[in-house]
Amino acid sequence: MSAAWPALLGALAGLGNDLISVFYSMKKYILFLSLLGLSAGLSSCEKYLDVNSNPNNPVVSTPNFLLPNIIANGIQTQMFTALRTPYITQYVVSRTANSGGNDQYVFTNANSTNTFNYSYFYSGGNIPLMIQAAQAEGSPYYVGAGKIMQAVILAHLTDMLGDVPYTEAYQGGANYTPKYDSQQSLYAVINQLCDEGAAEMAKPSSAEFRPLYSLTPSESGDILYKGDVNKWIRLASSLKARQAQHLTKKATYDPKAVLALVDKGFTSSADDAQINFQVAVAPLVNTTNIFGTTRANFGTAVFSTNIVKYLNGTTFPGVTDPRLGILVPSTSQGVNPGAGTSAVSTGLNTAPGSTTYTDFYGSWYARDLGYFEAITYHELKFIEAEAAFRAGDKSRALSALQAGIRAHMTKVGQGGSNALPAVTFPTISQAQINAYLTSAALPQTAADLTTLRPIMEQKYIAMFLNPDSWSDLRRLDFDPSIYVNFVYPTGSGVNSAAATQTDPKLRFPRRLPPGATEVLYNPNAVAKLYSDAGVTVGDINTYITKPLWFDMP
Amino acid sequence: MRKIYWLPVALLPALGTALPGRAQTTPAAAATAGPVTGVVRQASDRTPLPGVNVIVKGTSNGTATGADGRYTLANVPNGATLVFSFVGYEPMERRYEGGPLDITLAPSNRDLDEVVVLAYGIKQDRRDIVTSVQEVSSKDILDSRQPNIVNALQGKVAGVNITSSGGGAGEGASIVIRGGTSLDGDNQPLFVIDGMIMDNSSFQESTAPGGGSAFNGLLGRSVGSANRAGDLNPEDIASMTVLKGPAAAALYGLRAANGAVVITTKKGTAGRTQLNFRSQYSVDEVNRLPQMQSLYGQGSSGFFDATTRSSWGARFAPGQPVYDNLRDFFQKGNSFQNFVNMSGGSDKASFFASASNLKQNGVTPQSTYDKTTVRISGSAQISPKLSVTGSAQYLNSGAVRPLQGPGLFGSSGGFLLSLLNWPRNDNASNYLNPDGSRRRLLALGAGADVDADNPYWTVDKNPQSDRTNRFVGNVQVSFSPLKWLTLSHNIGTDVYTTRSQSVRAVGTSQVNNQFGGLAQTVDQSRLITATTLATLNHNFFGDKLRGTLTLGNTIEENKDEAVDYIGYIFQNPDFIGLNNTVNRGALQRDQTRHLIGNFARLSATVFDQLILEFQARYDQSSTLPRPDEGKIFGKGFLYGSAAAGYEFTKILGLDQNPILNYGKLRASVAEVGRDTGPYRVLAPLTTNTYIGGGFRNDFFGSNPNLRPERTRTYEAGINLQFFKNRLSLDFNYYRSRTNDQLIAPRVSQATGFILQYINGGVVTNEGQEISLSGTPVRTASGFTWDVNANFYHNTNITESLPSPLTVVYQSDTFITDVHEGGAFPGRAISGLAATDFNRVTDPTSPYNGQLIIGANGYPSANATFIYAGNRAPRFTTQLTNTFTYKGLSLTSLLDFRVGGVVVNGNDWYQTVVGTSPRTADRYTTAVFNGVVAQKDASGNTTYVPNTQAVELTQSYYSTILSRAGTAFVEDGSWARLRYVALSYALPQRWLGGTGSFLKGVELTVTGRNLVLLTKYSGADPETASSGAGVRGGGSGGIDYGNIPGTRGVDMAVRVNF
Repeated sequence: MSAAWPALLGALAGLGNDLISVFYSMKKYILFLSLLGLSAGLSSCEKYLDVNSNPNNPVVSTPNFLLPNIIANGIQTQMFTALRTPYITQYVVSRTANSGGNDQYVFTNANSTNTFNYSYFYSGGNIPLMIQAAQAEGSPYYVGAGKIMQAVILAHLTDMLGDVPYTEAYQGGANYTPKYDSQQSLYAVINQLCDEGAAEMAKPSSAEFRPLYSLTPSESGDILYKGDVNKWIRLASSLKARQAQHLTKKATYDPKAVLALVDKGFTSSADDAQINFQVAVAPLVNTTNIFGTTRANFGTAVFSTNIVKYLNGTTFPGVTDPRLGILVPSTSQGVNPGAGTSAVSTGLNTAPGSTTYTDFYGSWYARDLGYFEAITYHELKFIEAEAAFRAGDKSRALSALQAGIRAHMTKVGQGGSNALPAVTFPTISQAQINAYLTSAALPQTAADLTTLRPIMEQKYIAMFLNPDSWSDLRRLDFDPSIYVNFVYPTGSGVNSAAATQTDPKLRFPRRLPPGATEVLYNPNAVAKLYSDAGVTVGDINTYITKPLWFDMP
Repeated sequence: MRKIYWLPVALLPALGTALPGRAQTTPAAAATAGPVTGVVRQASDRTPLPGVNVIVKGTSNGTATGADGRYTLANVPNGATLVFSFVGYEPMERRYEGGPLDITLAPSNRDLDEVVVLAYGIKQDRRDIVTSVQEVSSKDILDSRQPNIVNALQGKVAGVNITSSGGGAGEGASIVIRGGTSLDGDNQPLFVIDGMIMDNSSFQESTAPGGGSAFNGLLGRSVGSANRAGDLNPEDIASMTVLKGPAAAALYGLRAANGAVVITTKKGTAGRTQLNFRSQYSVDEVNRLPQMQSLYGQGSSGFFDATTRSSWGARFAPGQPVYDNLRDFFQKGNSFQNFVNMSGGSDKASFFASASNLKQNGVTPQSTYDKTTVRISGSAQISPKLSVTGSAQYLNSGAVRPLQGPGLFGSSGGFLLSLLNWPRNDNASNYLNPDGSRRRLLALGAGADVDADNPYWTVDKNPQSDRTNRFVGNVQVSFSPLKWLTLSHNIGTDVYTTRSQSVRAVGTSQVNNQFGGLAQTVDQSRLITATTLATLNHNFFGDKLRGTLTLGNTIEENKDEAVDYIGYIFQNPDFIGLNNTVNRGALQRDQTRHLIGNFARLSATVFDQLILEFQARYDQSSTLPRPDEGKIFGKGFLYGSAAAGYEFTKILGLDQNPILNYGKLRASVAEVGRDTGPYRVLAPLTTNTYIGGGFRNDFFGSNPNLRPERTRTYEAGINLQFFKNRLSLDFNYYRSRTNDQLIAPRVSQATGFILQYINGGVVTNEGQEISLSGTPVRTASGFTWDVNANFYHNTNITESLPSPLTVVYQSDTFITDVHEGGAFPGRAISGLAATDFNRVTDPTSPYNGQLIIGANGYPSANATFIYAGNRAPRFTTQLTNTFTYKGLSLTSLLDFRVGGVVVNGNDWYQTVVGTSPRTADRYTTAVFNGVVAQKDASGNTTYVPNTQAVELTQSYYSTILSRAGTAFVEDGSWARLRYVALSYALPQRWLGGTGSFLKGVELTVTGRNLVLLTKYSGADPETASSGAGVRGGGSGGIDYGNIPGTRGVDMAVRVNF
């Protein structure tokens, strides 16, 4: 009891303070009342009610504070996809035997949810607002960056999912069940966006109200190329080249047109469209590698036999790739899909010196502070090699192939380390690169370049984890004469609808299922996807084996 | 605005001329005698009754008794009749023929002549009330011994559903009147104190851009938080009136779409200053605990395994210690409360002052709650026409609570889940290493940390605390220039600052906080209400027509300014402070909402039999747009009610009938609107928290066309009084329909947003309420037996949802992986969605609905959520019995609830980790009751009963059974003895007679929740683990990882001076 009284006295003192604060808050009200009595008009009533604008967050922003998110989340979308596609392309498989997961071609709608939603809500949905703000103030470069980013986002999304919304997208409550546009129409849209974007970027800088990139007072604007409009223009051409190259099955495919686009594309690895991971400083979160230990998405992934064989001298007997120990730890043995391997604690297929981390976490692409590439100079060189090969220009094909390998090896051969797990990566010397280029792994003359295999397998190695690697596998029908190490997954967990296909070319995943939120909130559009594919609604196992438009003659 | 504001005033002169002043009816002073004196006492125990009105009949000459029950009234002519009246007592008339006049008043039973406080302090005789209103007296509130006044209403009012969130010290409760009307809005009633709006909010995750659990990790189910009405001192409350339907509440406008709870506080009375003191000590313990198996220890696949927390290991060896970690963890809680109040005054001015203090130690270690209140109110009659009343109260409350439910950022668990998966071969109370760090069961691995914090460690190192400093006060000026006209202005405020803190110590398993984390929120809330009323009373044709017209204007401001802070990585690991963190973030989230309302109410009584009431209100809200004017604020809308009552016993001449002496029929129709929250018309941007920073779209899309949500209610009722008011029956039937629901469903993200505010969907409620009260026994010797019974049945249906929605989920209730609160079309908004086993869905099959058993002999779960029951009860009944004999009184409240499902989320969790009692059957063989699918010759699927015997393996429990949510849904019906209170008022002669300074001493012993009968297998089924702040169907009936309900005993002494 006695303890209660001091508390009461303290409370009384607090009462005094509160009375004063109330008096002050009331003062405004009393002022308002007297104003009401003295002055006149309904306007004061209007003013009293006019408090429905958020005081903490703006409704509009200048374009330079909208573009960073569009770039970062637009590219992060591809990282989310890359949590799935490396299991299809057999860069990695599940550590668990017979996991019943993506490496056995089993997919759920949730597997596509981030790919879809990050394309719209997180990134693309902000582009119309930014373009509007840029046009209003007279900043054509921001309009151009918005259009090219829209092309990047849309190209990735349709290549993974097929038909997706565009013409009815971004309308908020005015249309909350947007229809899906055909992939064919979207390919045209992508080219148009690239052209329009490049045209904006070609405008003179004197026409700009605002610099495309600024470090003061804080970094804003073009975080991709730091304001270099020529790199944006080359990005637009490179993306067009990639999309055009996807159409190799089509009668309309023109390798010379692709080569013309390549000529206007990236000129060095400095042009690579990539995001560099960074230490998260509040309010930023998840800015470290999506494949790294901090974000912990690949704890049960382990390197596939497929990739390990290319590097450790199995596929190319006697040729140890200098990237072994970088892309893949030199201790990795490789695991086949469905087979599984021992627990991490046994030390088998783990990061060097670790019984805590899988071997995946001992690799270059798992560095917490590494980078993620959307589209690169070395990819463009391999596109050039393939297009030149198809156009019959084998010497250009060979030199482009060599340039692609050299660019990739140089990029990943700069040494460096990762903290968790502690790994130090070797450097690759020019001598090592030269030795590899002159090894038995590659044809040495244009005349020796008789098949696409050397080009496509080198592209496959250099595009490690990149979702677009899957586009190559698809349009080449997972050709075992090209992708020689590729194995069909084993185990009872394998997608039976795929495995039982009689046509061997149709036994593979060709598209991702619709995102889970779309199944719930745009069910009619999703039903149309299934019916267009000739599949019973909800039969994901069959649905994912159906080739997309780009993948068909 | 100005025009609207002054409208009521402007109308006054016109009305003044229209209504001629009534002639004064003061009788000519006859043979004047000396002053009358006397004492008024209660009939039951002969204690003096203060505050009794004494008036010379037919005049305005009157007074009130003092604290000692004495009165003196001058100028009383011989032969005049004195009328003694007091709320809650039968009035008494006595003829004055000289000499002192001592009176005893008997408690009135059916309170027909009682005055009930309606909206804005409008008082009305119970006889004239035509809408559904139920009043709870101070005695009833205090009998319950609940420190939270919302809990104190439990069982007192028909048509009200109160759900305690859990048994934590100072934990909140939700109240819903007549079912919820809104799919996504707050369905709790408006709280009004002394005519002004009061805050009764509970923790709600912020939807401000960048806010909510994404910022600081806190979900509604992470901490058992308070509801703000719990700050009040129950001893300050004179009465609480529950206005149930919109007809009753229409005057409060769009904030009262779910009814209103109108609190009237105690006021001082003229006379000798009196002092009232109560001291109470209480002991609490958890009522029921989840069950745990005691056969198997840590491990998997039947073997001991130190790398897992699960209890799928070997059977305990004989003699091996098996710890009862769950029971050992909970402790006896206790609380100590002191209340003191003082009142007094003269005929010109009076005051009431009170203070209270509560200190409570909860049933979980280290949890505390305390509350201190100081209040003063006074009134002054400045002139015969002008009076002022005012009150000011300071409230301070705070608690330290355990981290519960899933913990923060979707971690591996709060204290209860950790206990539920603590292997019983290990003693959980051993929680520190010799070096003082946390003793872990499992080593820290890569990625997510699955070793939930030790419960003892978490209550010690991860305290979740909050402190609220609050001021509630008002001033009311009342001016009666004419006998039939009263003008009043009431301005009041409810301001508070809540500072809450969530500590995550170094070494915790809470995601993102392994190196320490600290989240703080400072929330400054301010409500201001200013109401101007003009009340016109007039009787026409010699009382054959009595009329009251009330015109009013109200201006409300609702402002909330909150700042969230978060800091990560403690530099000094043992020091808790934001400045000690390496990375810090801050978020500002302010909200302002303004409202202007104008209203009119006309009440007329014809021939004392027919009562008519009309109400209309025009509201303008700052949150709704006027698209046709291109404005994002200030939409105005009109609604109202019409009601009629008919006292049919008058015309039938039954007034003096010994059996049925009173009967009134009533009916009403009402419509009320509801607005939305601020800033939903234009969607703001939010901070991009990914690489590059800047801004991006926020979750919610803009909607410049939002409209108010509207509810229309029809109501009919009858009130009958029998046996000279010894028995009273009140019956109500109501039906309401709410359309244009304001909801924010998730939409296709191709729209550019995740959620979109839209109008659409219809919810209906239909129900019956019966209140029965009476005095079966009243003997001359002073023994009485009073009974009060309530019955309530409500049918709530989601009639439709806007296309293409098939269900509206309450995502705050997504607690287990397999259950979520959801409103399905054709079902109640308090519905439950859960996954189920795959079943035969062929209506033509004789096996339709049966489980499909796979080729492996086991059933399988379907990931789709289906409707799995209604969490609201089918009906509830409460019975209060009070026996009094002289100074002795015994009161009890029996509470019955029939229907309403409860999710046993604890059992679900335990089934995965192997501690559920159902997993004690592991390794036994069973044949699942179901059918096996086969293909017949023509390729059609047929079914045959399953005969395959299979073993109940670990994998069956943790990967098959645990994926079928319906297996963990149970009937939450109960019968409980909510409280029983025995009190004894010491006879006055023991205290030294009437002249003693000691006016009364009362001793009370109360038992709370002493008996609970329920089929529910978990803890107390009265639970809402996501807290009282969940909108729509609420979180009642969700039992997962929170503090179980408690039972307890209180001992109190009350002394009056």
